[in-house]
Order: sequence, then structure tokens, then C-alpha cells
Amino acid sequence: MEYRYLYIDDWDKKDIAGTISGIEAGGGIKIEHSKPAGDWEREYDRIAQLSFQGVILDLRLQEKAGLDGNYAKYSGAIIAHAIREMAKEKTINEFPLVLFSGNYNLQQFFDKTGEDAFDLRILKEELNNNSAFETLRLKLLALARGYDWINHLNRENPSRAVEQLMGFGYEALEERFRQRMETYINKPTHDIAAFIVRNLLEKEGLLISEQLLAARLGIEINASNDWPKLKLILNDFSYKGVFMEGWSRWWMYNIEHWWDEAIGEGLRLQPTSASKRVDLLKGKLGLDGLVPANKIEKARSDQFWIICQGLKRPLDPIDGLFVSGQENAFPWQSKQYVSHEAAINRISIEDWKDVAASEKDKLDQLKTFYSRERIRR
Amino acid sequence: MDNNQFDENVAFRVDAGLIDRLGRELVGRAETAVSELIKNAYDADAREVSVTFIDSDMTGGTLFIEDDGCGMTYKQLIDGFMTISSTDKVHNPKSEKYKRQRAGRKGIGRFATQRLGEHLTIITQTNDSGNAFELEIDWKKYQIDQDITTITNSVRKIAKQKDEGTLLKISNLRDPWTVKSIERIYRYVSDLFQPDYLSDEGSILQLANQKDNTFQVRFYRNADGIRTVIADPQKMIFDKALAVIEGSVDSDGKGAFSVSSKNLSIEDFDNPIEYKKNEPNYPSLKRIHFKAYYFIYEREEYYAGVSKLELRNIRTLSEESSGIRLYRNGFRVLPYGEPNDDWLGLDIKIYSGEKGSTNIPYRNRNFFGFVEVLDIKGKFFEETASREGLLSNDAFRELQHFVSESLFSARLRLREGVTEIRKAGKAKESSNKQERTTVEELLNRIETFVNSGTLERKEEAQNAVRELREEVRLLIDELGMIRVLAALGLTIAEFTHEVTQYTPSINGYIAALQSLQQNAEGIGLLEELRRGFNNFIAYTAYFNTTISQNVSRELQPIRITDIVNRFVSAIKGDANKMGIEIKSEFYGGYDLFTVPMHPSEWTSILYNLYTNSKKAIQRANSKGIIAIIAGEEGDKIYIEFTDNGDGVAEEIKDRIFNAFFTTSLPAGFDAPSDERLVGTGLGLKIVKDIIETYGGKIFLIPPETEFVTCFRIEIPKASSKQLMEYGI
Repeated sequence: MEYRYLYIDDWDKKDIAGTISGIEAGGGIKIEHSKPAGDWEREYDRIAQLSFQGVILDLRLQEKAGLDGNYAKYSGAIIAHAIREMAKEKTINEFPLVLFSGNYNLQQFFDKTGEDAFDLRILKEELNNNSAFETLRLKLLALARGYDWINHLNRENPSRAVEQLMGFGYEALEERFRQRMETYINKPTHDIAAFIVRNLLEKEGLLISEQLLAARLGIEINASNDWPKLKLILNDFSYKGVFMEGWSRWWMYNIEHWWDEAIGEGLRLQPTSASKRVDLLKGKLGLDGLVPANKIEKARSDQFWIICQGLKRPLDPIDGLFVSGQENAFPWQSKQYVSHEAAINRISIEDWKDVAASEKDKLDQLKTFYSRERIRR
Repeated sequence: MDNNQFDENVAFRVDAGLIDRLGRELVGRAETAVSELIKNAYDADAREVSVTFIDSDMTGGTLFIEDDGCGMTYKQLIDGFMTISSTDKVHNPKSEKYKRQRAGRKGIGRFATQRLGEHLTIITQTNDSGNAFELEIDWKKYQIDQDITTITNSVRKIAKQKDEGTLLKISNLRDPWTVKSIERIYRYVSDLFQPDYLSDEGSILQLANQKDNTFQVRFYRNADGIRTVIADPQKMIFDKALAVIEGSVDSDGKGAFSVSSKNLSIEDFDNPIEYKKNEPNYPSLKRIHFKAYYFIYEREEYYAGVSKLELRNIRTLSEESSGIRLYRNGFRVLPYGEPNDDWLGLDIKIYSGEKGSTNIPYRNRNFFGFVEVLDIKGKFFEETASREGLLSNDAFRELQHFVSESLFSARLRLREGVTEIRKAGKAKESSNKQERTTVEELLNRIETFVNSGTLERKEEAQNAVRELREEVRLLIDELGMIRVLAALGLTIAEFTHEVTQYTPSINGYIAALQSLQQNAEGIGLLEELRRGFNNFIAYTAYFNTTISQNVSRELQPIRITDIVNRFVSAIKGDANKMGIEIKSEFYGGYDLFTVPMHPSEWTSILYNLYTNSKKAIQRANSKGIIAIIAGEEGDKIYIEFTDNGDGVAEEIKDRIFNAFFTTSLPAGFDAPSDERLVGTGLGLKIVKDIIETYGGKIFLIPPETEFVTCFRIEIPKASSKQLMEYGI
């Protein structure tokens, strides 16, 4: 079935038609553009009455004249908040809200407030290739479908509900997560959705991304022809819960279990070097096209367990520095690190911002240690 | 006449007083009369005419006009000169020998002589006659109430005075002819014919020619037995020109120009002008030469030995006589160089990059010049049917190109010179031209005087005030230019912001197309499109970020690694497109902070250096490499910007940071506007100014191996106190 999103943007349809085409290209999503209604009341009425499975909002709605020729007096953020309020009061249905903005700085602002009414925030300039659009489409699809699912969820029995949402055997779920999740079951749908997306899907931990999966198996994805085959083998352990279409994830617990049972020959995954891991995999699975990942410059260990937030490559935590801002992480969430190389050279610093305060001294030491001598040629 | 006489056949009779009337009405001014007579000599295929005024300061003087034209036979005298309203010229629009277009008006000559003086003597002889004829006319005899046919004039045969030609002796001149009036008429006549201040080259070109179809007019004045040549006052003025620009195209079509100015210390010879990039020689344009005298009015301080009044007079003269005139085979071609004509596009060519440079006004009014074209066979240039100008064929267009290009290239050089001269000022013989007293110091001197009040301090203070004034003037000029550039900057900010708004939509279309495309070729093309588009976006996004960062006007310590990395990733696409490899290297520690600066100023610095390197690499036609190397030394951060382009010539090494110095050729006549903005000659000057404002330096150093040019920038490091202040 097709999911319909309403896209409210003060720009004219012809100026954003391209973006819409790009998103719709893969199918399953239909986006209808509309200019802001111009005044609050009408905007809500409109949203409440029309049957959409999701709403995309542009952050700035005041730049060009709206439907009635007037300029909107509200931003996308304000509508979003109001929509959530009305959903709480059950005045309207629950549906995903997506934010489109063209300004990096404004996005940062939302990060800080923590009061985010949006399920997804997209920077327009990141939509610069085919796969970016495809990824977005899948997420929109996942959100729409997921909201629907949650809306129809039987919430009488919280633990059953959690199980249904996770699409997974209850016992296997990490204790603390399970407990926390259960407390959300009776909250409004958007709160449940936000919790799942932000704390389970978007953060490595119980669920891990494809990139981290490869790193933990010691594999270099780009060089390994048989990676797709390996993924297929691991399909049973992939996440099949709510929003699965938009987030490819695997249950770490199951992966480790599988390793111990079928591959490791007594060797635990983490303390094993990448080359050894790959050897074992090749041997046990008969897949030749698997290549071990390389160490990042200045790193010494290849017992990869995390991804460097700067270089986006496999790293052993011992070779990394703890990233700042993780004080409020949930216990089931994996910690984030940045490699020495990325830290001293500030590579992709927008993605990790800074090392934790406790690591600052170490960083200074590293900088001194690695300072370079100039030799004129 | 008898009242009773009756004739059945009557004829018109003409009153002799008509001569006088016709004279006055047809000829009018005395200058017109003289010029008509000279034109007659021209029409008679004369090559030289001499005009001599004898004792003419008061009325009653004598005027001799002698030419070496074809002269008149007796018949021509009678049928031509002595017959009023002859139609000779209507029947023969071109002269006999040199096929000249008739310059003189129909049948005016005789009246011209009558207008000028009371008595006329003509002595004329032709080539194949054995003698000359002398005709005398006393215009006083032609009074009213007399039948014109009853008045006779004597004609005599006399010995030949010369081979061929005519001499007019007009005596009892009706007007006084002072030096000034003779000069005026000299100018009036010169307008018609190529002035005698031809350059050597021009006369060389002419002498080389077999047929000397030239026309030269010389004016003399005899007073009290002393003969003086009336030189064109203009010629004397031209010696006072601020600069002389000269150029020529040889018989192979190779063009070059030179510009010289004693006052501005410019001696720039033999600069080539290329027609097109891969076609440097002009295909149709050959053997032309031009010379232009350049003046800047209201700035007598630029000149040596020219007073304010003189300059003002020249300016007045410019209102009528300025411009670049065109002479073809020695004869003026109208309307080129006339007061409202702009055939070289000097007046119209005020594009925005130039507008700020009021230091070098470059309109037709600022030039007294001429272009001489040798086209004896009429091969290259053709006159239009109405005789008003030349046909706009290839040769003519190339001519326009060559002359305007030469002038505009010269302008750049002049700009440099003028800026330097303004800097140096005429205040003192300061050997140390580099040190510019800062405003601070000057104010201090004044303050010292005010506080101490001693006499010696007073003089110091007065000097300081004078210098301050000059400093302020310089700053205002620079400010003017900077304002122009700043306005541009703001526009760019708007533009880049708008551009980024459109990118998601375009990317969306590309993505949609990609998902539809099955064909391998199509997929490839779309991927190219996507990549190309993203390069474009990366470029504009860089400026977008820089500008939005600079919304606050505050300074901050700059982390040099960040700045360089951002810059490199932004222009990588552009560099790769030109086949240029660009890399960065960092040395020393990892926290290289400069003193507080504006981040966007680094954009200017790096971008300017990048543009220069790009051009150098293009000129060198090499596989380009640009490296940006940053590090620290002592209490300084250094950035070396190095490339393997064509290098900086030794002789211009100390000029490259001057305002308006540029090695870029000015953009062509019809170049796109962005090409015109590049090479304004301000890039390095601005870079230097920015750096020096922060107490830094920029200079050239010997490059490392594999590179040719290396700019080194040194900026003080941020102190730990400053870092703390800014929370770093």
C-alpha cells in the first residue's frame, strides 16, 4: 500500500518537485506538497481532516507567501509541537513528523533542546545522491507503517506489547531495556516511536548497524565480495521489529551467540584479531570473498569493536578517545569513540564535536607525541 | 543708358556689387576662406601648401598661399576661376592625379580670396606649359551699380616660377591676423589632414611607399622681416602629456604597444597584443600605427612643468579636439575621433570592476591621438558610400581590437604608476619610499605639538597634517574600490544562499532519473551529472558557510588546519577539473591558532592565492600542483602557498603587491563580465593588507623542489591569554 505524506513548505511546488520526485522514485510513498495555510487554526484543521500517514515540515515557513497570500507566522517546529499536543489530547491521529531544513546550525539547535517533536530530521543538502534519497524513502515508509502498527498495538499487556514491537523473543531482550520499554507502552505513540528510534535504532547497542557488524566481524565491506552472502546467512538475526524497513539492524546478542556456537572454536569474538576472525569465517562458511579490515593510522590493535566517529572505520576502543556528550547514555548503548588520528586532526569534527573531558589530557599528550618536524625539500 | 533705347532681345545683367555680397554670404568667416583655398590646393593634387602671413597683425597685411598642385592652364583660368558658378567640381568628384575626393566646395575659391583681401594676384603654371600666367584682380573695382561684365582684369604671360602649381597673393587683408588667429586656423585646417606630428615610424612607413600621395600644410608668419613657423600649439601641448601610448601592427600582423611616462617612471616597450589565444597575429590587419597622448586633468601634481592653468587650457581644448582620430593614407576619416564619437569604446567601457578606479579616467576626452593606416591599394579598408566612416569589415574590427586592447593594457600600467606616485607624494625627497608613516604616528606628532606648543614642533605638526591629508585621500580612494568589492561580496552571499535552496530538488530529479534508468550509458551519464552538480554545490556551499559564519563581526583565533582543510575540500572539484592536484600538509603541533581574525578573511586570502596559482599553472601549461603547507615557528604560524606555475619574474617581484599591478591581459572587447573582473590587480594588495593588519607578513620565498613559486604568510600565534578569552 502507498503511504501518503503531506509536505508543508512555503516554497512553490515547482521548486521542490525535484526533491519529491527523488523521494518517490522507489515507490511506496506519495508526497503531496502544500504551502502553509497561513494561520494556525486553519493549519490544524487541515491536517486533522485530511488523511495522511505522515507530515513533512520545512523548518522555515515564513520566507514566501502561503496559501492565502499571507506569510506564515509560525515555523515548522511550532506546528510540530502543536500537532503532538493535539495527539496527546487525542484530538487527532498520531503520525510521523519529519523536519526538512537547509540550515545546519538550526539543526544543531534542536539537538540541544532535547525537546524534539520530530521523528526524523533531514538536512536538505545531504540529499545529494541516489542512495540518500532511497534511504530517506525507506525511513518515511518505515515511520508511516510503524506508526500505524503502534497505533493498533494492544497495550494491555506491556511485556507482550514490547515483544510484538520488537518482533523478537522477549527473554532475549536486555533486562534494563525491556523494563524501560515497558514503561513507554502506555505513552502516546509518538513518545514510543521517539524512544525506539532515538535510543534503539539510532544508537549502537542492542542493535547494531551494518557498518558495526562488519567491524565486529573484522571485515572490510568494500573489499569483500561475499559480504552480501554473509548478510544473508545472518538474516535470522536481523531486526524485524517496528520501523525495520528504514533501519537495517542486527541483534548483537544473537550475533555473538552465533559466533560462539558456530564460528569461534572457543575464541570469543572481541579479543580475537580481525584477520583471525575472517579466517575463521572463511573456513566455517566457505566464503572466500571476505577481506579483513585495516587499522586506522596510529592505531595498534585490530581487535575492532567500534567505529571511529571521525573516520568511520573499525577501531579497537583501546586506540580511541571517548567522545563527549555521552553522560546520559542508556546502559545498553554502546559508547562512542574517536581514533587518535581523527582526534588530533579533527577529522569530521562536526560528527563528534569533542572528546570527553576526561580524555583531554590524553589528547594533548597525543598531540605532542605526534607533532611533526618540517624538513624542507 | 538712354531711356529711349529699346532692345527686342534682353539679357540678364549682373551688378558687380554681387561679388562682394556673394563673398560674404557664401564664405562667411575669414578662417573658412583660408581653409577653402587650401582645400582647392588639395583638390589640385598638391602635396605641399605653404601659407604665409606677412605683416598681418593689423589689417592691410598680405597672405601668400602657394601650392605644388597641377596648376591651371589659361583655359582653366578662364573657364574655371573667372566663371562664376562653374560646374567643374560637380562633373569631377575626384582629383585627376591622386583621385582624391574633392574637399573644396563648389566654386567658392574666388569668393574666398575676395573675402580675405582687396587685391588678388594669381600666378599659376601647369607641368606641360611653357610659361606661367599671372592674373590680377582688384576687388575694389567691383562696386555696386556697375555691370560686372564691364570690369576687366589683367592677365599676363610670365616665365615659369616652378614646374607646376599655383601661388595666390592676397593683399590688403581685411582682417588682422595675429599669431593666435593664425594658430587657430592652423588647427582648423589640421583637422582635415593628418597632422605633421607624425611619429618616426609613421614617416618611415610612408617613405617606404612609392606613391607619395601626401598632403602637408605649413603656416608661416613674417613680421618685421622675420619669418617664424607656426607650429601647432597642440604639438607643444602634447609634449606635456602625462603619458604617451604608442603601438603598431607590422606587415605580418604582429601587434605590440609601448607606454612611457617620465613622471610616472614608466618605460614599458614592446608589449605584444594578441589577437586571439591561439591566433596571436592579426589575420587582416597589417601596417598600422597609432600614438596617443594621455592627460589626467585636475591633477597638476602628476606632471613636471605643467601649471594648473595650462592643464585647464588643455582640458578646454579637449572638449573639441580630443579623441583618437583615424587617418587613412594621410587623410582624415570622419567621424572617428569627433567629439561624440566613441569608435574604440573608451567612453562606454566602464564596467563595474573599473568603475572604482577614478584615478585613471579613460575617456576619449583624456586622449589626443591618432591612428594611421596605410592602405594605398584600398585593400583592407573601404569607405562607406556616404563617405562617413569605414566599412566594418574584418580589418576594421581588428583595428578596433588592437587599439583598444593596447590602450587598456596601458591603462593597467598607468594605474600602477599613478598609485605609486600618490603614495610617494610630493612632500619630501624621501629615499625610503617603503615606509609609510602610519596615521598613529602622524597624530602623535600633532598631539606633541599641541601639548608642547614649541615652534619646532609646530612645523612637525604642520607636516604631519599635510601627510595626514594625503593619507586620508589615499584611503578614501581605496575605500571606494573596496566598497565596490564589498557590495559584490554581499551579493554573492545572497546568491549562494539561494543556490543551496535549490539543490535538494535538483538532486531529487537526478535520483529519480537514476532509479528509472536501466541503460548502462544512461546510468553513467546521470552519475556524471550528479557528480558535476555536487562539485558545483560544494563550491558555493563553501562560500555560504563562510559568509554565514561571518555574520557576527567578531574576531576569533583561527585554527589554521580547519581553515585550510575546509578550503581544500571546497575547491578540490574545481582544481581537479583543471587537472590541478591540490594538497595540504601540516607541521608542528595540532593546535595552530592565529591571533583573532575574521574567518572570512582567510577565504579571501586563500582564494586569491589560489586564483593566481591557477593562472600561473595555465600559463606554464604544466601538470599543476598546488600545496598549502602550514606549521609553526617560534611565536608565528606560517602558511606557504606554493605552485608549479610559470613563476614570478625577477623584475616584478617587488611590484606584485602593488595596487592595480597585474600581469593578466585585460579582457577583450566582448569578453564575458567575469573575465573582466579577474585580474583587477587588487588581489594581492588586499591579501597583503589583511595580513599586515594583523601584524603579519607575506612575501615570496624560494620554493621546495618540484615547485616554482612560493608565497609565505606569517601571522602571530594567539597567546594563551587570547585562547582563554575565547574559550579555547
